Amino acid sequence: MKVWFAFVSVIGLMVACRYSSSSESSPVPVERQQTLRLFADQVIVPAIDQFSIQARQFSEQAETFCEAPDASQLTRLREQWRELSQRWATVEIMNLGPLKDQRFVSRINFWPIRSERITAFLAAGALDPESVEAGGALVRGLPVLEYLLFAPTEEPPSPASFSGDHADACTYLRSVAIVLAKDGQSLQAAWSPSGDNFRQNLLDAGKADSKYDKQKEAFDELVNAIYQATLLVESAKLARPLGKRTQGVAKPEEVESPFARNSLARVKANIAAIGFALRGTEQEPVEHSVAALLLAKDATVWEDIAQILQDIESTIDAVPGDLYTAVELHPDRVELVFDKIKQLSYLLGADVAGVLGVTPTFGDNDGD
Amino acid sequence: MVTDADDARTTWLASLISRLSKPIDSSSLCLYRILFGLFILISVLRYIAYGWVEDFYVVPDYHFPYAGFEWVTNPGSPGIYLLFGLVALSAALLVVGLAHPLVTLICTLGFTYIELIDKTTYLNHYYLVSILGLMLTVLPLKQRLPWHAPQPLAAGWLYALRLQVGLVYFFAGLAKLNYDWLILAQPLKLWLPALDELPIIGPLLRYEITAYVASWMGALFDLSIGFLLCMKRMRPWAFAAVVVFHVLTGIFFKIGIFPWVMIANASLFFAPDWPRRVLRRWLPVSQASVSTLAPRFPAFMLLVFVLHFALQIWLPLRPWFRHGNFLWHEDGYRFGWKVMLMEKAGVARFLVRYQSGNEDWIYPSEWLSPAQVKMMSTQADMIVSFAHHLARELDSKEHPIQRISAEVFVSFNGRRSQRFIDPQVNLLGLDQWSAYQAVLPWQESVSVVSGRAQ
Repeated sequence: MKVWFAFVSVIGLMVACRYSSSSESSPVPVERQQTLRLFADQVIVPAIDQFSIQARQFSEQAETFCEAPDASQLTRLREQWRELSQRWATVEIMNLGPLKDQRFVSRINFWPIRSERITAFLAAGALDPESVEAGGALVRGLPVLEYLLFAPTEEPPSPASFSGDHADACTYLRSVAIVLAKDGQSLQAAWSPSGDNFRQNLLDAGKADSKYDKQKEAFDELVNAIYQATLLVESAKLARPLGKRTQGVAKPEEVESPFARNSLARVKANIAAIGFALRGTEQEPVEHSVAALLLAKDATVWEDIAQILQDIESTIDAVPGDLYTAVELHPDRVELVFDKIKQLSYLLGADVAGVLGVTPTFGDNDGD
Repeated sequence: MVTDADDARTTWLASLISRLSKPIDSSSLCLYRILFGLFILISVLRYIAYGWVEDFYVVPDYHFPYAGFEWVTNPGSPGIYLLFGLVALSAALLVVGLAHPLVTLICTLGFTYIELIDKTTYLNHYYLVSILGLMLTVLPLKQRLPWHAPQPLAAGWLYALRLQVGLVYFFAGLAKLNYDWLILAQPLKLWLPALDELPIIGPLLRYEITAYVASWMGALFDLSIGFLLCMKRMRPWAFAAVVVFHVLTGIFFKIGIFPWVMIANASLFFAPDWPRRVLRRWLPVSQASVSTLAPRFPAFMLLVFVLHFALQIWLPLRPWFRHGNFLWHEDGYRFGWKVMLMEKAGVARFLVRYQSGNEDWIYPSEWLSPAQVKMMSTQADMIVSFAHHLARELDSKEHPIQRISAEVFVSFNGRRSQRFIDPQVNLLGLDQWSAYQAVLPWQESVSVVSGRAQ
């Protein structure tokens, strides 16, 4: 029996190897640990550090502005807000670890903007940083700053809107900026070795003291976070204002940035950040990146993704104006962006997950 | 008039009943019932401890019903916790030997009811537990604990359990005789390298050859182990192989209590008095021998088991009588011991078209739990169920729904994705049974991008 068993096995293996589509006999490249290190050190930590720095600078600028509001300071503050929101677009696509567990996404950028809640909070008068922090997601973060600095778009606030009888607006602006800078610092600390050091969880994935029992769990979460980011852009940032969730009726007020008219730029930043996270760099994929893994396993998957990323960028560039106006004036152009992003989410959710064997983890109820 | 043929049939049947009525020691079945209760108890406690009751039964607003079992509803919280508690209590009673048939029935039906609430949580071994539970319910076993005086029991009951376990292995092996498993070594070629961080054997798992060895050995193991366990000379070796195989799969994959259930099942193949012989070393085991008189194996149960096993043979074979690759369409996949045969990933969107001509895109992640989204995105019957759920939720007098279609892309066993559901099909015109009509045929060489562009 044993001889028969061994004989059949050997014959079977020979047949299988003969017909196998791949002739590799070397180890399958498994580079998860390096991939996790690359992701932590080249992608997410620098983005969070930069966001934290910019949030602090914004807060300092808000302080300066409120001491003596003038036009040039206001212009500078608005410009800083745009840069900060662009930076946030590179952070929010990595919704894992503390960002997810401690709900930083809603603390920093809860949208669509609820103007009536902001005005009511402002009118109530308790505008110190503690009250803002206790007031909840609707009265803090980037959207509130956008409202204070840019609304209404047709007649944006002037320096006079922040002084004299309107000094409360500046108090609120300053408090929100302080809370935002604090959130940035907390997020930075959560990843930093001097803080909660979540970075080490990725680097030590598979070891006893890591949050992740296996490297694969960390790797799966990383790839899933990138896929979920694409889904967010598709379903919330584009489909909703385009009217794809409201029976074809465009909803410009549902865009992410209705007053600063910055929505499309942020979508573009999201997509660029997704490309960066996959490649580990701005240009060609670096060693150990997700893209490099894909190239090793099935190059066509990465080629398709690279092509789609380019297509998305060019279709965004072809949209006149911002999303707020384009969803009504040029819906066909926005539709093209939507279609391309949908293709990207199919590639990430089905092809990348399939080729890399990535599965969302639900515990061992997900099995046979 | 009684003919010779009738006589022969009667004699043959009588002989069979007589063989099935041969008295055996009930100790091994007694121990098996305890282990059965223990596994259910552990399973239920794990569900509660890990928060899965909340995740799978409390949080989701919608549950995917099994065809024909739409009447099974989720009692919601706290009802679902009470149900889990009832199953845990009855399982605990089995463990301590208070195994009245009613207790076994409550335990089995409770467990099965929970499993029937939502297709998302379907697992082959849960289905096996339900079958074995029903078999234990009808088993006239009076011995409370393995070291008590044995009760004579008709051998037919033990044979039925062995046959059930043997069929599980055999059909699991038969299902592995496919191109992906044997020639491509998929999905093990995807799964094993991901386990390379395991100590000692980890580095070996990076090699393709390891996936091939594991695939072929796995198939051979499943196909042969039932027969080997039946052979007295081979049994110790076969059991050792069972232990090694299931412990390894338990280390490799997150499959919960499955390995331990299967090891316990394999113990049924040993001589029926083995627990007493083993326990004699440590416990004051009853020395009483088994009476040579056992209750006869009931003829009507023979009929019940014939029907049951006919079904157990038909269910695993049915995908082979249907069109296409069952790994792709999954028509007839459940209840057929298709164990760990594939790695699938899918993405699904639904398009609701109203009679006004307007359309809405629906993103399942906004309606379902992550586990539900994952399972639904690759299974046609769940896709159709969800479409009907959407229709119930969204249809109104002001906005009557005309049709719901789906845009679904699926990849399996490391291949590029393809469109899974025909987007032209109105899913509201299908039910769970006919859902597979909407599945597009798998095309091995289709370019994904061009396929998507269409």
